[in-house]
Amino acid sequence: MKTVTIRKHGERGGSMIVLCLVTVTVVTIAAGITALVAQGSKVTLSRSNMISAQEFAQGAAVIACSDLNTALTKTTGTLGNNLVSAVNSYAQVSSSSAGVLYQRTIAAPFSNQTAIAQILLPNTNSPSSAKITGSARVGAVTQTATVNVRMAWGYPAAIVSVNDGTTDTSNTKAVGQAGNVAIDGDVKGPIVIDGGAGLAVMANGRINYDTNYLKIPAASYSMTNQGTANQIPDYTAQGTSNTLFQLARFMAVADLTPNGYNPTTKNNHFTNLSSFITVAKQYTNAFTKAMEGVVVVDVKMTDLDLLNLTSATLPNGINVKGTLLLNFTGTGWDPVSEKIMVTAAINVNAANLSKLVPADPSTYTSGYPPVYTTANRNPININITSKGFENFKASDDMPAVIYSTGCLDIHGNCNISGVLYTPCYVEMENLKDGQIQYIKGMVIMGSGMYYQNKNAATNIISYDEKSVDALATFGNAGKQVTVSYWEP
Amino acid sequence: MRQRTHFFFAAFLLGILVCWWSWGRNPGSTAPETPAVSAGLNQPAATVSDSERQTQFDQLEQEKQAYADEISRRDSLREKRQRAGARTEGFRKQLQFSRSDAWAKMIASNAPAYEKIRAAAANKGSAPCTLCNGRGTMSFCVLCGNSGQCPSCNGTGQFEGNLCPTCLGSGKCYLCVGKGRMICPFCDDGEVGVKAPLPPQNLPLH
Repeated sequence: MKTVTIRKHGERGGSMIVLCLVTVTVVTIAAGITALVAQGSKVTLSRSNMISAQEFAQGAAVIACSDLNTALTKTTGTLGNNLVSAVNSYAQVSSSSAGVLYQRTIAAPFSNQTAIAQILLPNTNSPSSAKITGSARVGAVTQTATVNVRMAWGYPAAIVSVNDGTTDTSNTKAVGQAGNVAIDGDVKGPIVIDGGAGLAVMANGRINYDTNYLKIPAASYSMTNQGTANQIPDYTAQGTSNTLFQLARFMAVADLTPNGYNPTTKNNHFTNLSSFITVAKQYTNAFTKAMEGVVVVDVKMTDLDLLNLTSATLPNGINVKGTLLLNFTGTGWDPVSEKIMVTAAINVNAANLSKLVPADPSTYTSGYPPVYTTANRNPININITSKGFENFKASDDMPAVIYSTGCLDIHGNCNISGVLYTPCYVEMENLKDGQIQYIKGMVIMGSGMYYQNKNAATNIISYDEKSVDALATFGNAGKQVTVSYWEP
Repeated sequence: MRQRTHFFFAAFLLGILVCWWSWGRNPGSTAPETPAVSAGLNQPAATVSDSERQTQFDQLEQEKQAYADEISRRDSLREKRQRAGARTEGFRKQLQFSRSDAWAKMIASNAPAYEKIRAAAANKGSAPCTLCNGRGTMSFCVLCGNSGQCPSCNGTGQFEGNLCPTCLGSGKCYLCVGKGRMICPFCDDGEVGVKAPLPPQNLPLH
C-alpha cells in the first residue's frame, strides 16, 4: 500500500515541473516579444529623432549660409562686423590662428525647435572661404551638418554690364555708349562671345546685335535686368564701398615694386605715356620678355603722346604679365566720350593662340595665371601694408586690365587672359583684316560696350571661371557665398 | 514542499523578467543612436528665450516684406522706364526737327574742310580728322547748346510728372552724354575713312 502512495506523489511533482516549464516558456516568449517591440519602437524613435535633428542641422547650416551671404553683400563694414551687427546677430565666440568663430541660435523658421549655427571665418580682412556648421538636438540625438563655402564671383558671364542702358534696339556705337552692349559684326570675320560655364552676356541694359549675322540662343544671355530681382548691383561706382576694385591698392603695389621698370622712380608706376612707351618698346610677348607685376600708367588729357599708342610706335605691342592699370588722371576725362585709341597690340597674360580655331571653344587657351620669372615683382610678395592696404594673397585672382574714368579704345590686336574692368565704357573695334582681339576671362564695365568686327579678323571673348573665381575685389564686392562641399 | 517549489519557480520567473527588463533598458542592446558628426567646434546648448524666438520670427517676416517692397519698387521704376522708352523716338524726332537748321548749318559750314580731309584720305584709305579734337569729340553740342542737359527736361529727368522720354530720367543730353561736347559726325574715333558713311543730314536720334 505504501508503495502506491509514493508513486502518486511522484506523478504530482512531475506534472508541476511540466506546468512550470510551460509557464516559463510562455512567459519567456511573451517577455521576448515585449522586449522586441520595445526595442523596435526605441530604434524607430531614435531614427526619427536622428532624421529630424539632421534636417534641422542642415536647415541651420543653410540659414547660416544665407546670413553669411547677406553680410558679404553688404556694402559697408567688414564681413565679421556685419555678422555681429546683423539683426539676427552672431556672437564672436573665439578667435585664433585657425579663424574667428561666430555663433547664433536659430529659432525661426523652425516650430518649437532651435539649432545652433556656427561660422568659422579665416582670420583675414577679406575671407575667401568659410566653414559653416549647423547643429540641432532632437530628443537624445544631436546631429551636425557642416558645409564648406567659398566667396566666389557671383555673376559668371563673358561680358557683365551693370549700366541701366536704354530701350534702343540698334547695335550702333551710340547705343553702346548709352549703356547697352552693342555687338556689331558681319560676314567677314567671326565675333564670338563664349559664355562657357556661365552666360555669354549678363546686362542690366539691352544686348543688341544684328540678327542677320549673329545667332545667339536666348538662353545664353540675360538682358534688361534693370528693375528686376536679377539686377546686377553697380560695382563700378568709384570711390564708394561698392566699387569692385580699389584702384589705389593696385597703385600701391606698383609704387612699392622694387627694381621696377620706370628708370626714374625705379618702380612700376609710369607718370606719363612717354616714359611708358620708351620702356614698353623693350619688351615683347615672349615668355620671359614681358613686363611683370602691376604696371600703372598715368594718362592725362594733356599728354602729348595720347595718340601715340600705335602699332608704329610700339611694334611689339604692350606686353605685361600681371596687371595693366591705365590711370586716367587730371581733368577732362569722362566715362564715355573721351578716349585713347590704341592700335598697338595689348598683350596681358598672353595665351598661346597658335592653335586657335574660332569655332572651337576647346582651343580657347589661357595665359592665366601669369608665371613670374622675377619673384619680387609678383604682387603677393610686395608689402603694401605701409600704405594702409591689405597685401594680396597667392589665392587672389588679379585682374588683367583695369582703367579708371576714361576710355581705352582697342583698335589693334589684343591677347588678354584675365578680367578687363572699367567703371566706364568699353570699345573694342577690330579695324584691320587679320587681327585677333582675344580675351579669355571676363569683361566688366559700367557704361556700356561697343564690340565690333566688320573685317576679315577674329574677335573672341570667352568666360574663364578660373581667372575670376577668387577675384581680388574690394571687400569681396561682387562675390556670393557658394557651396564648395558638404562634409559627410 | 509544494509551497517551497512554487516559491522557487516564482523567484525564477521574476529573475527572468528582471533580466529581460534590464536588457531592454540597456542602450547597448538597442540600435545605437547616430553620434553627432564632429566638426571640431563647440556644441553649446541651443536655447533661446520666448522674446528672442518671437524677434527672430518677426525679423523673418520683415525681411520677406522688405524683399517684396524692393521688388515692387523696382517693378514700378521699370514700368516708368518702359513707358518713357516707348515715347523716346517721338520726342527725339521733335528735337531733330527743331534743331534741323542748326544741324544743317554745322554740316554745311564744315563741308569744305571735310571734303579736303576725304580727298587726303583717298590715298591711304583714311586721314586724321581736323574738325574735332582728333579723337572723335567736337568742342560743342548742337542739341543742348553745350550745357550737357537734356533739352526736353532741362536736366531734371522729369517730364510732366514722369520720367523724361528723351533722356529716360538721366537729365543728360543724349547726344553728348551730358558732356556738352558731342561726338564728331564726320569721323570715327578721329579718323575720316574713304569708305565711311557721310555725316548724317539730320541730327541723330541716338
